[in-house]
Amino acid sequence: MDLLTLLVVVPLLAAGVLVFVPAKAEKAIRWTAIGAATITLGIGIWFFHLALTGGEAALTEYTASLPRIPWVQSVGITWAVGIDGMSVAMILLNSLVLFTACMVSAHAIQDRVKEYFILFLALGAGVYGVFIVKDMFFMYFAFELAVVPMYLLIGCWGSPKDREYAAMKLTLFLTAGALVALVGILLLYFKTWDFLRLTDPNAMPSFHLDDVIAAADSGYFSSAFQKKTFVFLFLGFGAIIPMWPLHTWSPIGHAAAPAAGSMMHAGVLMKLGSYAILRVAFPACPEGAAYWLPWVATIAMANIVYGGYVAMAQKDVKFVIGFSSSSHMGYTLLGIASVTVMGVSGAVFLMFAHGVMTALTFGLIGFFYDQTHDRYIPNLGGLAHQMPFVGTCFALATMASAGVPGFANFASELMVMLGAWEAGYKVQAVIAIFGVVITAVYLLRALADVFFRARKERWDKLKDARGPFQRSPFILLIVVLLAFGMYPKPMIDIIKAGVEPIVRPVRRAQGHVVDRDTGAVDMRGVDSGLDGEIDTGNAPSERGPRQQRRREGR
Amino acid sequence: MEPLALYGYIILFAPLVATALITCFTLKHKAVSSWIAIGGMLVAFGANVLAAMQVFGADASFEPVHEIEWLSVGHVMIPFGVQMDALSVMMSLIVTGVGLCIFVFSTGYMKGEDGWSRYFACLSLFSFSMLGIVLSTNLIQTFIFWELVGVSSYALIGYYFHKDSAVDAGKKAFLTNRIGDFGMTWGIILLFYTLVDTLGWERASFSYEKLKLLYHASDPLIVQVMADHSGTLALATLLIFTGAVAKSAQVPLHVWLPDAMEGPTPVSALMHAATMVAAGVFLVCRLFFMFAPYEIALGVVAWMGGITALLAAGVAFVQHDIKKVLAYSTLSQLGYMVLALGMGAPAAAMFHLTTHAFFKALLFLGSGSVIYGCHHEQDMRKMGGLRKTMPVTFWTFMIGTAALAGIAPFSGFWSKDAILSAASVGHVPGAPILYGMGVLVALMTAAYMGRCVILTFFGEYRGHAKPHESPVSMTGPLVVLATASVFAGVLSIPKGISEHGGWLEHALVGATTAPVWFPGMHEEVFLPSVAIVGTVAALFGLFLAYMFYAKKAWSIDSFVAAVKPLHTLLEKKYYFDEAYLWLVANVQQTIAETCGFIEVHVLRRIVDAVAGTTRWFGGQVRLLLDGHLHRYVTLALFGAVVIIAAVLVGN
Repeated sequence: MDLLTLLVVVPLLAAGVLVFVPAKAEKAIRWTAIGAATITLGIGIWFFHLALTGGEAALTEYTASLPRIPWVQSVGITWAVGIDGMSVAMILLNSLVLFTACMVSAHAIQDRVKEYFILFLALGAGVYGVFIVKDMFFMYFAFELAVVPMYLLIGCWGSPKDREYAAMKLTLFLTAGALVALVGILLLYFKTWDFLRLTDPNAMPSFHLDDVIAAADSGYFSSAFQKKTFVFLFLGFGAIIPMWPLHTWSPIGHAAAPAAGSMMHAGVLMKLGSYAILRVAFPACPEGAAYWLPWVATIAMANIVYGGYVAMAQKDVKFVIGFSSSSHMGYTLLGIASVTVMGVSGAVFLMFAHGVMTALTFGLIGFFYDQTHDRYIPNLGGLAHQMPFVGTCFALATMASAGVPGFANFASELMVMLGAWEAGYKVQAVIAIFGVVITAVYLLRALADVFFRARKERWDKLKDARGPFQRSPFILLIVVLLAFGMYPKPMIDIIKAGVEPIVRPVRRAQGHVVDRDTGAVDMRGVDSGLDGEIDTGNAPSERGPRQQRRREGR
Repeated sequence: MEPLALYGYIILFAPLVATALITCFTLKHKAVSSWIAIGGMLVAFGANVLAAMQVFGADASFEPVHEIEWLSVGHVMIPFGVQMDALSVMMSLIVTGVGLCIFVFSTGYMKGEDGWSRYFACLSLFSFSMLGIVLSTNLIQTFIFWELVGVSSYALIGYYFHKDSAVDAGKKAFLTNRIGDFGMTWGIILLFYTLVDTLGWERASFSYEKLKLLYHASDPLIVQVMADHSGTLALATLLIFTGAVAKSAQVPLHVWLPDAMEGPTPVSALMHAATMVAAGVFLVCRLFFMFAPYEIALGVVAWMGGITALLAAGVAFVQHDIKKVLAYSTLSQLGYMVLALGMGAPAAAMFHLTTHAFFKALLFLGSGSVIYGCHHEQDMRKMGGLRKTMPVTFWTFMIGTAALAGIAPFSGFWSKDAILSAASVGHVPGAPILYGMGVLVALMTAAYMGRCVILTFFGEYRGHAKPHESPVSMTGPLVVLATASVFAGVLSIPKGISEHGGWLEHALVGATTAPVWFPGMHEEVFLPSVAIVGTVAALFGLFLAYMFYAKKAWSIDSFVAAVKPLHTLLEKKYYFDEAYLWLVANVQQTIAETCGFIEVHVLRRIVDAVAGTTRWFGGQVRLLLDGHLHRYVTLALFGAVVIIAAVLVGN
């Protein structure tokens, strides 16, 4: 079995084993879960290393070596997995979050430990599944595999006040979103089948993305079809991002979930939507994307600004972070909408950085919430006196979230802004830059009001994180944020190699000349009448004056 | 890698290594932490001296820039590296030199404080960030460290995190700087893509050296393009300047600096007097080639500086907290530097930045020593007569005051004279008015410093706790800085006075030159009339302070009563804080509350209504399925009829 498939199999297998472990053997259960998470973390790092040393070529080669395993041949469902630069980043993200969330759960969860970890591992396996499969059916399947455990995790282990409402809302939204997306997937599926039957009348249908993309590349999908299908895919997956105004499930879902649930939810689950848009909607419906994305760039503003201001009005610390997530996802949307290698790579890098950062934040919030049982900001305050370590980590997470350089979030948001400007979304880029000010306002307020100010005696019994077992997950996440933030080049080189082929068809649909090597697009080649993969980006000495003349000529 | 670049990286990373070591290993070992921090600074300072010997040495053949790729996508490459030219080496010498004094001073001042290791870790982190700005090779790198300086400043202002005032001051500093950074990011992106749009990917760059090539280009095509887009480029330059406005605390983004005095006094000395706030001035010097071609940019800069200098000097008169006096004085002096920049005299600005770094650090540490000696009393009304009990502090403070007031031959005289002479011959609109304002500020500076010194060191002691002189770890740095404050003027004594004069200006020519065709570049000369006017103004200011506060020949109370509205305006600091608070409380909070309301009462309602409708519908349907077989059959029949009808119609 290949390593990619193992990413799904190992957690599922561990969950299967746990079914037979007696519920009283809590220690064994915890260590089994952590062990499985560690194995997948190792695989995640192995792929990152492969991408680091071998580049995109090594990943392509690896993917090519994998077989397609037919599952239900008559409807064209195959178990086919693959990896590129984008999924390397996402796999690494999931492996980090899954591992740290397991560590956090190991001491935070005392109730029904066995059931908890079985569900938790299934959730992890589902997320891995979405990131690795190349078959649209399994993508849908894996997504649902992740959503259902999430429902139970929130409903059973969430904070008692609002967990049922939150679990229901989250599940309904995610499932509804997935269903809408499924309509788009089915549209693609049948159209692809038509395409396949053009060459071979007896061809079987196929859910495989490569077949869909081959059909799209051949120009078989009409412009109208692409515009229609893109709407289904984008609305469906967009609800998962969550895109404004389909976001209402998300903050309350964050808030009600147990610490590790929030970590997985905000850390990776929310990234599935944007990942699927890039993976499916971009290459399959480039013209639809080119048509609709300007609207998305505007909706992204609603995410950033509205989400930020709502976060400012919150008094519950988990809601602050919850709305902050939806604000940050606005940057992801903007980066995606820019359809530049810079912007989209920035968006993917932000998915990674935000995932790590928000897992850290929710892990820390969970750590003190388990003791205070209170998240209402005015009731908290001065916690750094009792919890210096947690306070320091939280301050660092806040800084990362506020886009302070040195953390990966800064580099990614900067890339989104550059990409948006490059794509001509100048107003949006400026608003996005201003969004960083809004972010700082509510984050610093939350940080100050929760951890700083005078010591409160009622919290004197709180215990700080002690020992390597409690501290290591937080330290690991901080180190990752710092490492990729201080020197982002390696990660971005990996991501951009994966993003280029995804961006290229949409750029072409927009009518731009695409640089064959870098995928960088020369916006100024638009009206030159050139088409196709012609590199005009390397003749600046001529272009400056030429450009000048053209402008004057108008 | 050349040794020079290596020195650069050592200067930059030594403090960061210190931070990392303290954070990871020695949080519980106080003494070790401070020694690691001081060690890191020593290493940086040593490397800096070596670098300076090479850069300012006779053999001037060196490659100033060393860069690696930090991030690259498509045609956009963001480098990271060190730029070791005269400007940056000069500035980093100030940072490491003054920094070293302040690190040592801190070991005395911070005795017995909680979080000692945290303090030194943050101080080292700050030094790293500041040196990053100084040695940066490009706009993005500068921005990165620009923000990091903001963060470390936040951590140090909020050092006493149990105090609400300290926490809020840190927040205020961070957010005000964020507003500046917003403009700066915008400006950087606007500049870069304007160049991309006009000159193409290959020529556009974030790197200073490459940008400078564009602005200095003799290629007529480039000159033409740059001229055609001068409006956009000037706008981008001014947006970048916003960052400098916030960091260097210019009106209207100055409000954070006085509050920042909530931090420990050595922090105020290092960051909020000597180095961090000078970053804005440094940035404009670094980017002077971008400001110089645009009269409007220079005009805005000059007026901003002049207004800040004047407004802040006014407020300094009504402060009772000794640190607040110095804080407003810092604002005012930064205004001077910015004024010099606007007048086309970056060398004069850097000169004043250098001397100011010494004497203002000296004054702040002196005030720290006073505060320490008076058992953490900061109110000047409860001091007095300290010259007897704190002789070393007194004499060094006097030297600092003389330098700040601009009394010859102390260093401040020379640098202030350079600025005033630049202003007297400046080209920007309204230059004569600005020159007049500059002279007025010189008078006011001397007067409020006279007041400060008289209240603190002369007369009778008015406090309760018994004052005492500070330990050697504190007075030592004072003496070092006092020496520097006396002699720093030799860096750039004007040519008219000494044959070897103008050294600094000469050294900085390469780094701060304006394009060849720039008309307003100021050549530093010695103007006796300016020197006389400045000196008379300063002496008159001291005379006023003497008459009002020492001799009490004139009553300050009746004077205040005579100018009551002005006095109130000064006490309220021109109502800037009130205006901002109003904006935050009313505008920002209203937007937030409105969005919060929409979220809860509109969006959530809609979603819940959809869910409720579904549930209601389900409930209604459930009523149909009540177990009565005949109803099921009826429904099934009805359904069949509908389907058949549909099929028939469809065909």
